[in-house]
Amino acid sequence: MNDRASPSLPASLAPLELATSAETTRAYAGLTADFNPIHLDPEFAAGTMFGRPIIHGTMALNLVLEAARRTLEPAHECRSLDIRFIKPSPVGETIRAGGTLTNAATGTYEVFVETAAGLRTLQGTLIAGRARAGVR
Amino acid sequence: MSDAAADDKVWLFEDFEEGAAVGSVEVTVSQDNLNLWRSIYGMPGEDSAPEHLPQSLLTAAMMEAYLRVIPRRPPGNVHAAQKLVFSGTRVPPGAHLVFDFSCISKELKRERRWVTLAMRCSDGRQPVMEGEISTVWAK
Repeated sequence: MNDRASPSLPASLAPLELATSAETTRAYAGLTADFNPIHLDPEFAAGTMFGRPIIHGTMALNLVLEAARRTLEPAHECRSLDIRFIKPSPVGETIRAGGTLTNAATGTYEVFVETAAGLRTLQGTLIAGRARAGVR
Repeated sequence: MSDAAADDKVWLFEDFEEGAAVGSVEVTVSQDNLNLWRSIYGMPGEDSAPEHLPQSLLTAAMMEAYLRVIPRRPPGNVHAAQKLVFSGTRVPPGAHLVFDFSCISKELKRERRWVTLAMRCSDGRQPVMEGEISTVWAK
């Protein structure tokens, strides 16, 4: 059997929501040391093409990784992720990550993050495989 | 490494050289980092320190490393795409992660300046993850 494949991979990643806010954005800024005012300063952001603060892109990406972790572990894990950011999410939006298994042989999930209105902000593919418990 | 690595210089598109190193930095994922991560992504009942860092926290550490290696960037840069490959190496909290960045490509496409950096991360002994960060560079 392909090491990356498993017949027991779930058909989808359990959807995971995150209610973004100024507080979560400040926390993510502290976590990554990314204090760009486009994320944090409403007055600054009002003068940009976005009109208001937007969340950090990898805050949404990490929601996909968290959805994968909660769905797949401990038997499986994310091996790789390949995504593109489609559009930014304003701070204050509730975003939702999810994914569908499209190729069980390779462990490939089509993954996404979308707003409550269903607008995709991120999409791509995630490859899952058996958890490598032997790796320290 | 380019002279643009100096902290007081803004990295411009012209500063990137395909195949050249951009910089290296060490990041320690501290208890403060764990607390911040938990305030955003933590699950109920997940209060104790994890045995190893979740991939989302490794990715946050990668962003910190990227921003420290290129501390001054032109306003208006857009993080457009991201690739990540995880080795499976388990990283305990408090570990020191070493990140190396190099320029894979820079190209003009439809009047946009695309820069793709390679990222490699190790715990000093074993590879932890690698990937590519693609950015539309503003200037």
